[in-house]
Parts: sequence; structure tokens; C-alpha cells
Amino acid sequence: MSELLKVENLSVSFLSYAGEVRAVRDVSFHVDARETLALVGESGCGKTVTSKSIMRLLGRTTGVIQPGSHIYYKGEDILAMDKKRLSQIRGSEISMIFQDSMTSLNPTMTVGAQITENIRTHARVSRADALRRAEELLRMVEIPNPHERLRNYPHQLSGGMRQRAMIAIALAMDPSLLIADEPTTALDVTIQAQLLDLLRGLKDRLGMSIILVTHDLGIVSDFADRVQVMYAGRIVERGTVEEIFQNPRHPYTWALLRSIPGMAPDRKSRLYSLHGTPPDLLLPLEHCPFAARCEYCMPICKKQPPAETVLSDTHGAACWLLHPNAPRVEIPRGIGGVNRD
Amino acid sequence: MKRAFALLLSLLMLCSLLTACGGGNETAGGDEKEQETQGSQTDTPDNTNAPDEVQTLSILYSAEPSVLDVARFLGIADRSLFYNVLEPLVRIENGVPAAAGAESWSFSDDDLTLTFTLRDNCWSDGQPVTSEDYATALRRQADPKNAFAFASDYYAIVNFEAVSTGEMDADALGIETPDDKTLVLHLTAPTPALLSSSEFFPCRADVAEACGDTFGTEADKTPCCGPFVLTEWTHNSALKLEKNEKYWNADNILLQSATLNIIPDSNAQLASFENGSLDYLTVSDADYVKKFQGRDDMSEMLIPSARTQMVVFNCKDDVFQNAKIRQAFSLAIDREMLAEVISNGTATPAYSLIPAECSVGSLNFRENADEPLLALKAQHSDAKALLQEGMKELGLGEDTSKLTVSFAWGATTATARTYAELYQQMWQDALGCVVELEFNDSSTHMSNVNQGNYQMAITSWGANIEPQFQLSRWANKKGGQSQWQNADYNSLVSRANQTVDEKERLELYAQAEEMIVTDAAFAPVYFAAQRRFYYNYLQGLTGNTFDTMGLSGLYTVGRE
Amino acid sequence: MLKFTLKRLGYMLVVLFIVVTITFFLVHSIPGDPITAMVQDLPEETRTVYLARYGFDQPLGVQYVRFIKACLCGNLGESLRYPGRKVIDIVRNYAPVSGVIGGLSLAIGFTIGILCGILAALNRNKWPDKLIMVIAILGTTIPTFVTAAVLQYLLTVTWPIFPTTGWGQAKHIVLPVLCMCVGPVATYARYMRSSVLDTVNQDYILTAEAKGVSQFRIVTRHIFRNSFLPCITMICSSIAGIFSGSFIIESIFAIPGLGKYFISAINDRDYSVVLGLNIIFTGIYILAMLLCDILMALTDPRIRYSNDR
Repeated sequence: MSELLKVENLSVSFLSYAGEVRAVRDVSFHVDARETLALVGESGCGKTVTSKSIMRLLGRTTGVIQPGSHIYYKGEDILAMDKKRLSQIRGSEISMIFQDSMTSLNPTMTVGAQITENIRTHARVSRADALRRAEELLRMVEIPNPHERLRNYPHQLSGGMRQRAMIAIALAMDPSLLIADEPTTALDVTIQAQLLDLLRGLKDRLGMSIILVTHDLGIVSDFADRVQVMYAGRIVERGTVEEIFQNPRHPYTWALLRSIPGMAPDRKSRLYSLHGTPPDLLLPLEHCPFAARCEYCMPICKKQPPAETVLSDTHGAACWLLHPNAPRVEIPRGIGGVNRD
Repeated sequence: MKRAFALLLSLLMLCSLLTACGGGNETAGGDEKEQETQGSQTDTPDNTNAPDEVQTLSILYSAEPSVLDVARFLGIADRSLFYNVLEPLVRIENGVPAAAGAESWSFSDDDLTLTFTLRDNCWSDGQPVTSEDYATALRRQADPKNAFAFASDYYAIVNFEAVSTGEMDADALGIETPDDKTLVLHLTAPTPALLSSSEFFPCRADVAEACGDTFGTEADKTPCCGPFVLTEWTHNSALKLEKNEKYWNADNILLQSATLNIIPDSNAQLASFENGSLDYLTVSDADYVKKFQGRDDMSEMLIPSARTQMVVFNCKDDVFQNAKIRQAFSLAIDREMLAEVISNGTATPAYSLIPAECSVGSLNFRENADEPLLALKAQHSDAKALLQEGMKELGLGEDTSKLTVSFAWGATTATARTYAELYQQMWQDALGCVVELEFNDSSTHMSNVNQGNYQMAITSWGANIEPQFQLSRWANKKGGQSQWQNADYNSLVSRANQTVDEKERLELYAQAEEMIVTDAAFAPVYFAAQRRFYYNYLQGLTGNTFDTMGLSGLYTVGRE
Repeated sequence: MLKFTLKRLGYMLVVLFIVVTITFFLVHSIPGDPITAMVQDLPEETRTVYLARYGFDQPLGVQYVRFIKACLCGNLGESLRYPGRKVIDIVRNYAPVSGVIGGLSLAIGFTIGILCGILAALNRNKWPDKLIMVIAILGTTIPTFVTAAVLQYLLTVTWPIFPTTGWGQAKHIVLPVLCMCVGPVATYARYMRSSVLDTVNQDYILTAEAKGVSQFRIVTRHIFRNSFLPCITMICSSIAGIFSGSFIIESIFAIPGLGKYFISAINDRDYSVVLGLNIIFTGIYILAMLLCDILMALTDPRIRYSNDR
């Protein structure tokens, strides 16, 4: 099987004074080699926690990965690895880049040093060689004057440059999987596009998989192969990009799609916004988590959580509307493709 | 469990708070009057062994010497160092002048010329001590450039005052050195108390000139001809003295070396004494007094300081210009209570100015002169009535509760406040008036008092052997700190100073004392004394208040 | 860099001048004068002569001008309380003493404090953290004279290990330094702890972890280096305080240091010494601040390169 990463029954809780916040509830998915998976959802849905859990990067928080969770990387359970093996994997097999490049880079280390740090942690390489490789990487991420940039500090670079530098650090050891946690959120639109182009090019060239975590469905269509929509710690819909954009089946997905500016048929109409707020994750939520905000909520939605309805090999949605006994509901206007179900 | 622990912790803290408030070791509560050995030679109780092989002492020295130059020093404590490293013409031994640098001396018939015959003595570098050295000292002391603070002690010498204020040249000074071993002083008037109140030290002219301003600021810039030589001087820390083998009386001195430690903090002093780093110490802290009294290896002696604690009145003040008011305040003082409480039983209540240790020639003053306040007290048994009389004279009415006066104290510590409040309470209770307290640090206090910015102020003055020194303070143009200007008093005192006959002199001093104490230029409170503890191995400590023998008589027997 | 330093030196001199002027007039406004502070019973004539010798009978403005002129020639004056001693000599003799004690206690206190702070922060809310924080609070709140008096009694009388007072040998340094480094240990432990806690929550630590960097290297290169920067500011102002010494420690252990000298000079109204020492201390303080700025610029690249982009 070409499954690079397989997440099974991942549950993550945070212990707070108020109680246990269950941020990720029984999430399972997989990522194949050379494919891009997008994790989409609004703030607090659990996508970032999920992405951080993959490399067990919750150490500084009170987050605890619940027993019964498994994360298999090339067959090995990351959650069962010892510290040494984990360190080996981090940065060289799986890499991660973060949203805020200014704070995610050590302000007192040069860019070059931060790249070579990654290299020399994993390989016995001389400083000179490591620096050469670093320069190469900077060139690869299309930073002009890479040789000078090696000696620059993060604050001397623009936002876009910094993000590229982060990518260079992450790609230093040629990882098989790159986890990108909202890499373009802090950038303006034009830089966003440039960065995504870069990532796409690198992905093809280096043959790596990418997990892209984002709240912006707009950038996903061009970039990802598959999409997973998360809400309140659960995956509510999953599918290929075509399936999600042309045949979305979960009301939350509809709301997300309608929120994309420019998707509305009528230019004069107001920008759609989903009212309400995500539920309190302290609560057990033994029902559909979206019930409170769903236009199509039915009594059963408030009583039982829906199981995932398999719509195809790759497409699935967890919604009572897909139950045979449920009333037929039309996909709202303006979203979805020509082929409607 | 956690809660119980927290409760226990807070309980503990509360307890410590309460105990902290209860204890107070500074307000003395001296219960029993301890056995005091007054001014007698110490003797080893039992084993009179031979003196130790190694004779060394470690004692407390009060403060860093200002400068070891007899013409420029500023601190009274510096004198005690001079007595160890220089040889004055005369030393006080057992309360009377004894020959030291001078083998003998004689007055002329008219008592206006004093001739000293010097004995053979050498400086530590081998040079002999000559009369020229003593003359140099006097000339330098008279030199206005040196601004000698105690120049007034030598005004008896002809033209000394004029030279020191710059009116006359140095050669006008009334001193002569006909030969190396003779020094002649010409006096303006007969001064019988001269030898017991002024000291005459020698000074090396060549070294003084070579060093200039730095003369006397380091051990190597301080020539010595006394029983000891200053060998080390770590400023603000310690001084080391070693026996001067070239001293004329070196054979009779057992002590080989002494370290004088400068320790300003009283707790540190007590700790140093307790663990044996100091060989003797004056102790006033009541708790420590008890502790040391309980130790077998220590003994105690009470040394009168010849210091009169007093309240000065500002006689130029609107209220205190009236003698009756002053007398009332003076009589209202409960001297017994204050002496007991403030000094922890060491002081003696004072109904006069001159302490019991003072003498006129061979006569003890106090034995021959009654304490003036006792008579005044007998006359006016009701101090409050006296106050009312005084107030009426000033037109202030009869209601003493309407009278508000201020009392200034020259320290700002908590103890000082307690003591001042004692006085305040005492006056308010006895006289019914209002007393306000004012606290300043000692410099400011001194300055205020000297400038007359006060109504009543606490102060203390030390006496010399003869009453002249103490009485003269109020005999100047200004009237002393009290600004009590009395021409009769001034003439009495100056006549007394020049009277050679002992009995006559004593009588005149007694009259002067009676005048000033009865008129209440100030109110004497008590005569201070010090409690000194010393280790039993220390021999030779006398309790004589005025002796200037220095450390030369001390030695140790049986120090482990 | 050079221009930066020169500009700062210029400001330094201006500040120094202002401080000295203010001190001059303040000191002379206190009632009392040096001679009265020392000798109670002084005849008026001698007092006049004494004051004239040192120029105190001149109007204040004249005295001030003379003082400034003398300072510019490097003559900081002569002590009044201790005739014959020049202020410069006093500084030369006493400053090293204070320097040794102050320097040692700062160095030791700083080192131990920093290490404790890191230890506390990395073991947040566990027993090392709690223990260190209790010690730190005690260290900050218990007054120096209490610690000193207690230690002096315990270690010189109850168990006579060290000498009570004195100066000159190594054994005299132990107790004073011990008492004096309590403060710095407490201060730097708390400061470093909060700095480390701040740093630990920074995103770049997460990045470093994501790179698989070893915990040891994260602590030494990422956490320590970045938490340490704010402490540099603090140590510079502490350096300024080394020479002014601790009056309390020097009094209790009878150490001939500059701190005690300075306070006694104020009590004695020894104007020249007060002013002279004030100039020296202010100068040292300003230099320390300058040093701090330079150090910060050198170690924190954000400050160093903020001008070129």
C-alpha cells in the first residue's frame, strides 16, 4: 500500500481548570505518498491540534493524546516510538512549517544557522557542507541572493521571504511528508499565491506528500488532491477536491463554500456568513456537533451523532440528511458543480 | 492535607509576629543592681601566674582616626591613640599629673612661666626627642592654616589666641626652647589647671614638612615616640601597634603588640567580644549585660565617664528666658527614674554639673561642694506652682496646659524616641503642659543647638579633671549653648581659673556652679558611667576615668 | 557603532554635569557643617578660620564655580573629616574593597540565580520550582541586615568558623559575600524564571522541536540564549552598584569599603567626599548603562541590524 501516514482513532484532550477539553474526537484518515491532503475548518475545530499531534508536538501544552490512538508512519506507530526515534523522524522524514514565520524563527540565529541546525541534527556533515546545502535550499525556495541571506537574521527578511526560509528549513533533509499549518494565513494575497506556487512546484519536484491545514477553502481547490472538513474535533466530510467542490453533501461544507467571496451568483448579494459559534468542547456532545447552527437540523440531529455515510471510495460525509429516511435537501445555489446529485 | 498544611503555616507566621512584638531588648529594664567594682585595679581572683609568653591585645577602637597629626585632628577619640604612640609632657596617672615626656616641671613665682625639663627619649627611628619637637607641635597647633579645632585649650599661652586667628605672626607665640631638654611656656595668667586639662605632644618638624598635607594619614607618615609604634594602618578597618623598644620606659611595658579594630556595628562588636576576638568591651545592651554577667571567664567593671547628661534651655527663647520656668522644668525631672531606665542602672542622678570624679588639685570637688539642685528642690517642692509663677511673670496666664514647648533630641532611632517620650511624659505629668518632640540626626541637632534653634534640647558634656573645663563652656561671650549670658558668672570662672590656691579655687568653682545650676541655664540629669566587661586573663585595667596611660599597663595572664 | 558610542558619551557628560550640580546644592542645603558635626564645642573664631580655609565662607555660587573648575582639572577635593586625604586616594583605596565583595557576590549570585531560574522554569510547578521560588521570595524580602546579623552570630559565635569582622585575608571575604549574594540570587532567579517561561512558550521553540533538535540543545541554544538577553540589562545596573557597595554589610563586618565611607561622609557633612564620590558613582552608573547598551546591541541582532534592511 502506498499509505505514507495512517491516523487511527486519534483523540486529543486538553486538561484545563474547567475540565477536559476534547479537542480532537476519534479522527481517522490517511495520506498517500505524493499526495496533498487539505484539512479545512474554522478556528478551534481541531485541525491544528491534529496536525501537531502527528509529530507529538504538544509537549509545551497540556494536550494529551488519548490511549487507543495510533499514528502509523510507514507502518511504525509514532505514538509508541521512543524519544530517540521520534527525534530522528522529526525534521528529516516528517517536517512542519507554521503560520507565523516571524515568531517561528529564532530571532537571534541567522537563517543559515537555522537551516544547518536541521541538517546537522540528522547527519554528520561539516559546517561548510551544511552551509552549502543551506544555500542550495534557499535557491530552491527562490530567495534571491541566497549567499547573503544565509547571514541574515529573520527580522531582516520580509514576510514572504521568511516563510520561504521556513520551507527551506523544513525541506533540508528531504522529508517524505510536509505538514503546513496555515502557511499563507499571515501573508497578503499576492504573496500567498507565490508561496502556493512554490509549494506546488517543490511538491512535484521532490515527490513529497503535504498536509495543508487551512481555514480558507479558496486556496484548496488549486492545490490539494483531497480535502477533509473538520468541525468540533470531528471530520464531517471528506473527499477529493472535485467531489467536495462539485458535490458537497454536508451543510457545514456548504456554509464554508458559500463563505468564499466571489462564489455567490449575484454580485450584489451580501457576503454569506454562518452565524453562531462552534460548540464548547468541554461538553461530551453526544449528538451532531453542527446541530445548533445547521439550517437543516432535524430532531434526531440533536439526539444522536451521525455515522459517516460512504458516498464513494473517497467521498464520505457524516450527516443525518444522507440517511435514507431523511428528506431530500437541495445543495444551496451558487456552490457545487454542474453535476448535482 | 494541603489545607491543613497551609493552616499550620499561617499559624506559625502569626506566632512569630506576636513574639516579635513582645521582645524589645533596647528599653532597659535593669532589675538587680549588679556588684560593681568602681575604679579599682583588677586582680586575678585566684592563680597569680606569670605573664604570658606572647603578650598581645585585640581591642575595639571607636572610629577611624581623622588624622594622626596633633595639629589637625578632629576627633576626641584620636587623642587616645596619641597617648599610645606619642609621649606627652605629662600623663594623668591615678587622677593626677605624672611625669612622662617631662622629667619635672616648675612654675615661676608669679605663676606666669612654666618650665619643663625633658627626660631622654627617642623617636622610633632613633632621633632623640627634643624640646624643639614639643615647640613644633604648639606652633603648628597655633598656625591658622591648620585650623586646629581645639586651639582654645591652649589660649593660656601668651599670644596663642592671636596667632591662631591670624592677628599675629608665629614668632609672637609665648614659647621658648633655650636648650634641647628645656621647654618654657609663658602664660597670660596663672593657670593651675593647665597640666590636667591640656596635653602637650611632640611633633617632628622634618617629617611634617616632607609629608605636607599627607602627614599623619598613613602608618609610615606618623612618627612615634611613645610606648608603642604604629606599624600598620588599614583605613577603616584596623590599626596595629607594636612595642617601641626605644621608649624610655620600655623595660616596664609587658605588652608586645595590640590590634585596634574599628567595628562600627554594635552587634558585630558584641559578637566579636563574645567569641574572644576582642579582649574587653563596653556593653550597654541589657540582654548582653545579663549574658556576660553569667559567664565565668569574664569580669565586669563600672567606669564613670565624667559625662553629664543634661537638658539645655535656650535662654533667649520667649518662654525660657524666664528663670522660674527653667527651674520648674529642671525640678520636674525625675532623675532617679531616668538614670535607672535609660542607662540600665549605670548612671548616677545629677543634681549638679560637676561629676564626682573631678577634683581641684588634691581636693575632690564634689565632697566639698553641695549639689545645688538639692537646695533648690528643698526650696520649691511644687514644680508646677513654680512654672505658674514664671508664666505669670511673662504674662502667659496661669494655665499650664496652654503652654506648649518643644524638646529636641539628637538621634532618630527607635530607642531615641522611647527615651524622648519618657522625658515628654515626665514633664507633661508633673507640669501639665504640652511637650512636643523633635528628632534630628546628630549633626543637624548640634547645628540647631549651636545656632539657638531650639527651646529645650538634650545634650551631654564631658568634664576634665578640674571643673574649669566644664564650667568654661558657659563662660564665653555667647553664654554657651544656652545663651545664658551672665557677667558675674564669667568673672567668677575666670578668677577661679587663675587662682592658684586649691581651697580658694574650689570655693570659687562651687559658687559658679551654684549660680548656673540654680538659675537653670541647663538641667543636669545624670552622670553617665560605662559598664565594661573583660576577660579574666586581662590584667592592668584601671577604671580611672581621667588616666591617660594608654595601653602600656596592660598585659595578659593565662590566656589560652 | 562608533557614532553611537560617541553620542552616548556626550549625553553621559551632560547627565553627569546636571547630577553633580543638583547634588552640590542639595548637600549644601542640609543644616550643619563638617566641623560642627565632629567637634561640638568649638570657639567661633576657630570655626571661622576652619570654614575660611576650605572656602565655605564664600557665597554658594562662588563655591560652586570653584568646585566645577577643580573637577575639570581632575581635582575632586580633599576630605574635611579626614584631613590630608584626597578624594581620589580615598576612591583608590576603598573602591577595590567594595569591588571585590560586590563583584564576587554579583558574579556568584548571578550565576547561581540564572541557573536556579532555568531549573525552576523548566520544572514549572514541580518541587524544584516551588523550592526555588520560596528561597527567592525569602531572599528578596528578608532585609540584608537581618541575614547578616544572623549569619554573623551563627557562624562566628555559635560555631566559630569565620572571623567576626576584619579585612585582609580570604577568610574575611566569605561571610560578607555570602550575605550579599542572597539578593542577586533571588532577583536573578525570579527574573530568569519568568524570562525562560516566556521564551519556552515561543513558537520558535516548537519549530526547533519539529526539527528534531535534542532537548539539551534546545535549552542551551534556543531557550537560554534568548532568555538571557533581558538579564543583561539588569546586570549592568547591578554592576554600577558594585562600587557603591553595601553600607549595611560593610558596617556589620567592619569592611573598609566605599559604601560605608559614602554614608558616613553624608552624616559627617564631609562635602568634598560626598560630592567627589557622587561624581564617581554617577560616572560609573552611566558607564554601566552605556556598557549595557553596547552589550545589548552586540548580542541582540534585532537591535544591531534594525537600521539596515
